[in-house]
Amino acid sequence: MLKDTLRSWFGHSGEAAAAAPALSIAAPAPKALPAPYLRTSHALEQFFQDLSGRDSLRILDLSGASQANLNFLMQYGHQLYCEDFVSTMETVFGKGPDFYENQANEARMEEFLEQTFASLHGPFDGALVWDTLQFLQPPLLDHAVGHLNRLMEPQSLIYSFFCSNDKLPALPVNSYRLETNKSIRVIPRGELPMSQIQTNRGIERTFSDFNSVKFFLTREHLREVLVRR
Amino acid sequence: MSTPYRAEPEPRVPAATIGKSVAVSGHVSSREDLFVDGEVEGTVELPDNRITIGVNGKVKATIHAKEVIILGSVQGNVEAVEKVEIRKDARLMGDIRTARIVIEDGAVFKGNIDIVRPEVKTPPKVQAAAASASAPAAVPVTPMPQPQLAPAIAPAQQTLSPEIKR
Repeated sequence: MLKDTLRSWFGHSGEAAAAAPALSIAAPAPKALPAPYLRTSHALEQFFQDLSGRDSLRILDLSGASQANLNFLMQYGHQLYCEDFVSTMETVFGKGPDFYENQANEARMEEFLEQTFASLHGPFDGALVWDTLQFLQPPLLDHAVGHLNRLMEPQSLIYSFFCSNDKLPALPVNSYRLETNKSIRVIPRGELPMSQIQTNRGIERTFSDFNSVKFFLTREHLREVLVRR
Repeated sequence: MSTPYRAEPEPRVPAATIGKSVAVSGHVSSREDLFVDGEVEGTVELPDNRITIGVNGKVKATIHAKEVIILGSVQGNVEAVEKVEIRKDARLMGDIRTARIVIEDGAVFKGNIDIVRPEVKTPPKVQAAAASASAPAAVPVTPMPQPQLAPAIAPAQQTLSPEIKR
């Protein structure tokens, strides 16, 4: 009877059919990531314009190690320091709904700052921070920005951007690969829970210890900034 | 259906292997290629050979080799005369100093990358000529026989000759 019912549902033998629904519940199909795409950035163009004419600069890249960024920066004779900021966050704070709550945990906060900044030997002449800061909540955000401030050369630039679309169900996590001095290949790699969207005023406050913050308009719901140390 | 080509991470047959269940602590030096699939702590020195850290390999050491290929985990600075390769899923925490580097997507790397230009080896005869040209010699110098120079360094020889005559 049971076999017949299962066969009518799944069209094959009872044993296999019995296993089939269990499998489908245990391992739901992973959400497909969007395809990589290219975006143009005037802020990035200005970042590289500021560096032009100088070689052997020390550049910090918080998007993790990639051959593309390495090749791009090496062609100008720059030295690259790689750090996967978001990956360390996911390791320390998890990827679940308590991602932001965990950031308030003193021990985890210390661990994150230790893992991220203890091995960074500045000063850097430029930093590609990308969107990594939008995943941090105060007071950890302030600590991280404070460390960046300490690591940067005076007058050096930080390139960063923040999502401004509060309709999104979750914040996309991407890898960023430099294609030209103003175009970036965006490679989706997952998502993290939505947090409070940073306003222009909030971003200014975040970088209040820096010399200046310049905002750039984009068509992709992003607040792009160039921050001068 | 033909299988698409994929560069396999396996090294050419290694002469020396530190196996999965082997742990070594101290200074490791080798005059042949080395494959590490176990644990190594200390320093590793293979100035003329390649070291491959296998997927199970865990190295906490400063590595100096001709070529370094990482498939497992390395914590420590890496210096390679020719090339460093960090393969997919490999982890390297430390600074790299090398002439060439390959980082596959999915590799985890935290550290500084310093690309050094490979040294151009000057033939010994030209070095001798350079030495005699720079010395404050009052003795007349016999012009050196023309060395067999590679085209890339020929201009250096041209600038040396007039100084020798003086």
